[in-house]
Amino acid sequence: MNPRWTACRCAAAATVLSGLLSGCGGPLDPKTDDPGTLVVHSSFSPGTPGADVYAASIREFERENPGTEVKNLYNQGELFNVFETARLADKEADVVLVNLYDKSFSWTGLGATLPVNEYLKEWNLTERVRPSALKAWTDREGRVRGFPWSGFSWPVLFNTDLLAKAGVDEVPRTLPELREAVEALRAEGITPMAIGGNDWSGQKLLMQIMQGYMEPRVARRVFAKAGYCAEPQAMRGLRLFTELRDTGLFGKGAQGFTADEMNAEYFGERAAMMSALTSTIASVPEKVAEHTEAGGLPMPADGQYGKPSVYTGDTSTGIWITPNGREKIDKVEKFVKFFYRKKSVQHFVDDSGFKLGLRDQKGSAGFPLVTESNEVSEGDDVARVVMPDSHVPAAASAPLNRATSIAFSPGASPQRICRALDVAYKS
Amino acid sequence: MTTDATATAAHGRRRPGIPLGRIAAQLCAWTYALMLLAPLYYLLVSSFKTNAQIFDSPLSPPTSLSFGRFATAISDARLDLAIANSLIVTVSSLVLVLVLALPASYALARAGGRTARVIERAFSLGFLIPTFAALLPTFLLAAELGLFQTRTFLILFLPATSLPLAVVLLTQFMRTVPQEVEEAARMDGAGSVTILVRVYLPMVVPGVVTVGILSFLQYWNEYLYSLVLIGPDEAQRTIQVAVPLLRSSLETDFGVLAAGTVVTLLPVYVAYAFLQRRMEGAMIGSAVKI
Repeated sequence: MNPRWTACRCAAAATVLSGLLSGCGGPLDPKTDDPGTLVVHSSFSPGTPGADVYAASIREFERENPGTEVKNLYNQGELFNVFETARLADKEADVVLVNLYDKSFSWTGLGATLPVNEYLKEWNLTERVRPSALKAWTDREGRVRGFPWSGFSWPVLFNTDLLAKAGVDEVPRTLPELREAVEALRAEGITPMAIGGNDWSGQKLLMQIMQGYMEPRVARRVFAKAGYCAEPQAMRGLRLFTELRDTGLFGKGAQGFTADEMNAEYFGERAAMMSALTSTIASVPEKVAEHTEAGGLPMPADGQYGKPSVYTGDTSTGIWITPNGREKIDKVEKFVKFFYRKKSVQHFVDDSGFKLGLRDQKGSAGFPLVTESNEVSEGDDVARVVMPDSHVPAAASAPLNRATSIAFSPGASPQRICRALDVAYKS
Repeated sequence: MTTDATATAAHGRRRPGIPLGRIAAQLCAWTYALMLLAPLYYLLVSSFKTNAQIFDSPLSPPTSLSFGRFATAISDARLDLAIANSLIVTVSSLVLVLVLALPASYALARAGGRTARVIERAFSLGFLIPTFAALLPTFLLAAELGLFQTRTFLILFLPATSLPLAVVLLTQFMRTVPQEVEEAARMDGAGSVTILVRVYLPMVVPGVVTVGILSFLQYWNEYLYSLVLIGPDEAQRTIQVAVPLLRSSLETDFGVLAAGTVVTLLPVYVAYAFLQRRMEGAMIGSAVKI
């Protein structure tokens, strides 16, 4: 074929295709400038936890509000960067549904999102929010960064069948019991605890074990400003971590695993324990969930917490209003009120296993293990340790996850681990 | 006598056999081919497996050949729209880069002065600009022009990134066209545009194909600028921005993710298969000329 004609045909085809598809109303027409369109940026992309319920809720919202169309923008890990770039160009979405983590801590202070204190009052939503959630979303200047929405529990899951197979009849609640369980499970060829030593899941477990000997105020300071090597309590916690690691608590190659491999290990019943976030708990296969028990991570008797520990938090997802959203505040109000409505919220609780930071919601009907985990995490049998994400600076988050991998590497000493953690804050 | 006979027989046996060097070369070639094929094989078989199967036995063949994960990947990440957007961006940019690079290369190939050499070197300097270094000014330019979050800006921007390579390559190809052919055309009354289109273009088709396929691969696989400049809107996003939506930090169906990745590779494979012979011909032709 004559190359000139090929080039011409390609150009013509591209032009025609572009015109056909991107014209008004076509599937490739962005429509983001339409005043009747509310643009919502979130991580609820199809196929992710809660996405089906979210899509159904949006359809219901549009039915209830004729003339308002919701345009969804989705991102996963890149959401923070994409939002910030769009904000710089004044092209950000009207509403953002995202967790309070990493870069989003600074958004309200920088004017990238609006404080919602006044809207909470004007729209009569303050009473709907649990006090702990309101506190978590309020910054030092008293600004509520966004409407608190979903939260999380982060207990440890125990596969009671695998424990029983190894002769362990009770879920371990103390360190000596945990060591005995590890030994028994190892003897049976079962991995005691699944973990993603190369990502956030490993980082949280490392810091949870480390807190065995750290006072909450010390933990908050160290997580915020580093200085792990210089802090005796942190070093004692790291020694505990390396001792547990060296007794065989984690599986082979844990330092290279991510949360996905961790889930596969536990869901495939090859590991007897797993530290699990609410969304992960909701994904536990039914057959495994039947013989799974939620509990806390055993902590040292001579440490800061006399009970097994868990993480809990109210910062999973918030509803943020952007400066562009202010221009469509009437639509934003309807949207927020819809997503605060008991019926809408219960839909997420029942069908997606979400934990909401709102008052008067019943436990999940469809996810009993999630309900059990929430009850355990908020009960008196466990202690709640400091959540690192609320204190670690945004710039250190990713390097800290990478440094965690060193901690899970066999033979890594507490000194080597603390140096890696300290260096992560200088990245 | 016996020893001599044995040696002669051994010598006689070795001669018609395959030389050791050739065996080693073939071994290396096969190893290299397998190294290239292994990830593709892994990707393909993973598209038909559950997460548990992928983690338990990553290289084993799938137990069923259901295309459900391909359908899920396409519908979840709207890969249909993403492919359309990628085609619009890639083909438009490709046409633009050729429209700009061909006359520039023709002029540089035929000009013999110092200025031409300086301009040619200036084009070569384009290779020195790191991708990340240009991101911020490019974003500011897009925002200033009101073209942020549009395909149009990317269509204008991508050719700029590949223009240096296109001009340098095409200039070399055009220099191989004998001067006499152009002189003959001029004597017949042809102008510069006619000479470029009717004389040079047919003679540098291998070069155009080479530039085309290299640019196609670059545009199709471009991620960073597409993410930053076009954004996440499914009406506009390219396939490289759409596929990562299948990966969640909390929970990922790796079978669906693998299927989505296979879908992104198909157009590249089709383009390469379509242009492979001409590109290889161009490479061999260049090597012979060197």
